[in-house]
Amino acid sequence: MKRNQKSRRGARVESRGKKRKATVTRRRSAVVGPRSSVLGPRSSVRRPDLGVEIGGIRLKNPVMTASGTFGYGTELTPFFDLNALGAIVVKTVTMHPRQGNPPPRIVETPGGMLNSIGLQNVGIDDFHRQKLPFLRTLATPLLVNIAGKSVEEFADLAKRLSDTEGVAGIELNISCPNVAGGLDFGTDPHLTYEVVRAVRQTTPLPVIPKLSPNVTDITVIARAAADAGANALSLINTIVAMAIDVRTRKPRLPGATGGLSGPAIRPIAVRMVWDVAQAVKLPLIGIGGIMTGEDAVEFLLAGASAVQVGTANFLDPLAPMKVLAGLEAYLVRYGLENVTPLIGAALPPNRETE
Amino acid sequence: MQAEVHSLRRLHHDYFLQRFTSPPLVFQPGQFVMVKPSGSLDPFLPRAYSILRVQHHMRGSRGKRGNVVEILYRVLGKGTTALSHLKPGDRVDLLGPLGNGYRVPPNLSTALLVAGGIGVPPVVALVEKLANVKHGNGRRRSAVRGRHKLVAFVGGKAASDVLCLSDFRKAGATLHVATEDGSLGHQGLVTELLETYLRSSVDGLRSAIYACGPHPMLHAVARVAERFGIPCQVSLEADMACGFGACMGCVIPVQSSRQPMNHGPSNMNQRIYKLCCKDGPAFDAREIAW
Repeated sequence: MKRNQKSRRGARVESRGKKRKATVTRRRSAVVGPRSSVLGPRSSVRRPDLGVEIGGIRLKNPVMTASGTFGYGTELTPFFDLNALGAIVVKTVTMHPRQGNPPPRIVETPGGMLNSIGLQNVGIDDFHRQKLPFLRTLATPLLVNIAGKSVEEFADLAKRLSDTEGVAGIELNISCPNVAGGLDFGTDPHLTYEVVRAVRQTTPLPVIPKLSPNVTDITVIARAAADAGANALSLINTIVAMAIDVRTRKPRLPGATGGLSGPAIRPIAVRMVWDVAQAVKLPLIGIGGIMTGEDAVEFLLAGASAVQVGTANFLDPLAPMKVLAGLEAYLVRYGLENVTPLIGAALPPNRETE
Repeated sequence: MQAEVHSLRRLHHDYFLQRFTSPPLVFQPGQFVMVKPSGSLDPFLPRAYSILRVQHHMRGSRGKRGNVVEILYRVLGKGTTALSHLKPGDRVDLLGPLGNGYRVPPNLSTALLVAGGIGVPPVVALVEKLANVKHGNGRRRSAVRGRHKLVAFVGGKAASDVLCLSDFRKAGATLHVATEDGSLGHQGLVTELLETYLRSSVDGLRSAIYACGPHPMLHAVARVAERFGIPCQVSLEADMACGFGACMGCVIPVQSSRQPMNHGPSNMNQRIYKLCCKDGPAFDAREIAW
């Protein structure tokens, strides 16, 4: 009943928008075809302010791409204007180039997929030489995701990124399940503390550890990261999982296990954001199976200030734009002028979150 | 982008020819599209299909004008099963054309085309391009005789796995057919026919081999090409999620052209990979670490 009323209200807003369509100036956006109509007609209504702030980084909207699902940006330039994103998070960069794991690396599972890429990347030197020049031309903030083999290597990578132009923040991959030792820093609170503190002391840039769901209590890791001076937290990375081929009677991935992502893990991710939002006061970036604007809203309600769209990019390179359009449509439908009232709105009232 | 099913035709057994109406699309033989039924999470990921041909200005099932993209597939798993159950007018997500197709040097005189089983679509696309076969208005005009000599080698396990022979004929290609069970043409492997042909061939230097099919067949073709010193391109496939280079899932082991770079010990003794979707799917056969 209640839902019906809401959707009717939504429909009215839309029809009002359509009448004024003629006066609307065309939105400067690379979203093409029928998709732009989600935003287009409503731009005559006062557009909500989608801006948020994450650890000192001002974002024009809360929709980013998740590391490892977006390459280094150039892969997606044929599809839309990357400047429409709140921020870009690029594929994990390591000290030395990595060739990654042997194929097959991808297995489809119900409502999601397993991956075992193994942090294939060009290494920090070629990242500077080959990838940064393009990324610097973008107007939207760039978060560089890094993974080190040791505390020192994390700090060294962070330092080298701080010494260069065009990097807005550093996301720490302490949660990769597909390389030896990849999970160590994200599953032991002492190591989490050490690595975050070391990076914090090395760089003036905002430091955003990306947390692993492969722990008993994610709030313990979140508190360790907060105590060490993290500026924000990204969560969650993929969940260690596996699939077995019943014909060959062997694991489908050569390394047996991989990281599960996609809508299948969304309820787990929402719960973890909800838990962490009540444990620490840091801004959170919610990640896990976001396919639509309403999925993003769910994370905001659980306490996230921003979101990352990951696996959905593989199904549709325009997914981040659709999430953004859906989020804006949601704000318009409920008469909200900005996203702030949504952040943590579903949390128990006695807890304070900011 | 959104596309819709134009028609579905069962060729025989599990082989289907499916057409989609789509926005205008220009492709090179060997390029592919990612396709999945719209609005469903099962199958979750789109699948890569080589483009067989694109017909221009055909009417879709709802009277809309546009391109018609044709793919050919064998129903094997979830993705192909789902596609084979769609009806005309059903919507699909179709992304493409993607990847790099076969590269044809301007001075090519003879194209040796090798296709195995369901690997035939990009090879047909190439033979039709080289023969200047035009598609449009629902009718296929006969080939304007191209300037290339076209020799096709088509194989399969049985006669029912040998597809598109009439397309090769219409393009004016000389046909050599092999089946493993001998139910059609030469009994044996298609690479045997290729080898026999090359032994007596007088095609000269400006010939090249273009192949697509099962991995062992492509490996055999690559060996033959090496032995006869003929340039060879193979179209490969790999499990992929996105099709445009973002997931880095579809890697193909390639020969390291140089010594491993001086980037420290982590790089030693490791395979070098290229992405099937972005660096391929058509590769120079010598590049592959078979």
